[in-house]
Amino acid sequence: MATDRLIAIVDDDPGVRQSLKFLLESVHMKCQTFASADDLLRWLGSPRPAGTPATGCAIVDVRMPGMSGLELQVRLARSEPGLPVIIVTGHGDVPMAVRAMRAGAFGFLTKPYQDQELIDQVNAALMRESLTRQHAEFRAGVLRRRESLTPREAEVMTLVVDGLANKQIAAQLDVAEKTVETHRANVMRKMEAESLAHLVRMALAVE
Amino acid sequence: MIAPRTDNPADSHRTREDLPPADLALALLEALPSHVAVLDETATIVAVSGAWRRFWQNNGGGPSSCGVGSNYLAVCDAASNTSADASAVAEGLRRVIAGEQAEFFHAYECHAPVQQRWYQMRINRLDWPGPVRILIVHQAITEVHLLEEARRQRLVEAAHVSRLCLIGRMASELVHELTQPLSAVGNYARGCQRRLESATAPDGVKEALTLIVGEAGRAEEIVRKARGFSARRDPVRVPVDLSALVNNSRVLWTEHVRRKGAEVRVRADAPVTILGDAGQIEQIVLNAVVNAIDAGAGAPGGGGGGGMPTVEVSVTRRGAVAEVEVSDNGPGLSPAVRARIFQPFVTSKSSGLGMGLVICRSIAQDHGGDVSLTDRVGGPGAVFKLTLPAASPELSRGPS
Repeated sequence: MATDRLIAIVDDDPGVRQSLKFLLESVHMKCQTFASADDLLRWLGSPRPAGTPATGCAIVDVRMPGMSGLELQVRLARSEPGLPVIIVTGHGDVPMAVRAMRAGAFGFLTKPYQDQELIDQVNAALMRESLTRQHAEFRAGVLRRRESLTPREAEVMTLVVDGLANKQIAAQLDVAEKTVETHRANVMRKMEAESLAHLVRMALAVE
Repeated sequence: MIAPRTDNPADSHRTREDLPPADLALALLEALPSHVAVLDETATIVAVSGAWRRFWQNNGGGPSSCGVGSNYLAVCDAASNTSADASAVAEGLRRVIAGEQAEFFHAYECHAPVQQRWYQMRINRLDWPGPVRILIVHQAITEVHLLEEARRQRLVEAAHVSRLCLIGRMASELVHELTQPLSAVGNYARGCQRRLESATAPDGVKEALTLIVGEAGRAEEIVRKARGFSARRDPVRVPVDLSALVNNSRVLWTEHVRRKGAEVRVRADAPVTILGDAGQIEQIVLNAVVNAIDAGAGAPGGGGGGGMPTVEVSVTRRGAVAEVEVSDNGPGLSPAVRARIFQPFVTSKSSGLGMGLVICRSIAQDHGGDVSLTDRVGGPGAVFKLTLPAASPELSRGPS
């Protein structure tokens, strides 16, 4: 799976990070290399030129001078919650891998690893990132559209999603059924809902 | 056992106050705890101390062989065929008698059936106006000898441990350093393979790439196995009192101190307990002290500049941290050295390997601690600091 996402490679050894970039580019992935955890954090925290793809996954060597891979992972979990991190350990260190997974790493690789293992993990990470991002975008859109509802429309939407019929809503709000129908039509239009099921999904996403 | 001779003047218990000086001398000789014999210019024994007489009696020699009247050279010459010591002593004795040499020393072992004993023998001419008299003194040096022997043994062991340790650490550093370029080679080769998958390449290129990938994999496998092999065994973790350890390791650097004319002051009084491998920690301390002495020897204020290399070693406990500090009066650290001091194969010594600090750091980190090297506050010189997690004092059993 090739996406337009950037893969961040963090390794203090220039030979290793350049060669990883070369390998992943051979399967049409876009990569950016970083010599240290600080370099990546600085890059993520500063504005990038227009058209720079978003970061889809980070491959992080665990043993680095300065901030270690595990520490970077913890920092990224805070500043880039949707970014999957793949930790590379050089020692086949099980406790370290366990710590990484507990701290929320997407996966880990033990050197030496097969290139296919790496590519598979990166692909899975990109897919997860993409789902996370789609969900976040969907949620942001729902929230934005819900802002445009009047208080009365919002009330009607809550009751509609709860499964109440127009008649029941009219009784509960003490208005004419005709009025409820108008509010309901406004809700569907403003929320860009194609069906009641679609509206319910939107409501669940922001619950 | 042969009964003591009764014709010895000291046995007659004279108590008169007007004891002639010659008699007093004999009485003193008899009372001396050392083995002393007085010879004339023909090497005939003219007087012996009580200790000498009793020794020969107790060791089966009997008074006739080495008592008054017998010839010491003759005794030595008779034993020369079977004893290298005897011929060396005969030679030395002849030289002293002939006046070619003022003093002659010879250390030898003389083991009794139930006890190992070492002696040092001294032969010299008596400085007096009377006739030629040669003094032979045998002094028991068993204790000194055993101490010296133990010290030598410890040095040999320390050197051996140090070498083993060095080899192991170097292997593990080497394995780590090789992993990186090997995985880079593999990545590039596999990247090329994937790029050429659906392309046509010149003859043999794809095959060669397959071989490169295979060979890189083989090398990685070898490194992986070597890593398993050089992986440190489960470290020893026993209570160690750092103060006792530092005091006990003084013996390891005495030779270096003597050679460089240095002074090492140790402040390690209160017990400071850690959990660890005493042998490995000793390595760190020894390495630090030897480095500190060498640093002082090359400094303007140190030995090289007319001063004396002075090293201070202290053991302290600050809360949960045990510290060994080794400070010197050398030139301190140059900025170039400071940045790279903990990298393998970086050294400021002409004959150094540049692995000392790397190994020290790796040992300290294995123990959950670290080492640091900084400039000394308020003066030239550097401070080496070993920090380790302190253990609760009740674990202390003293030095192992």
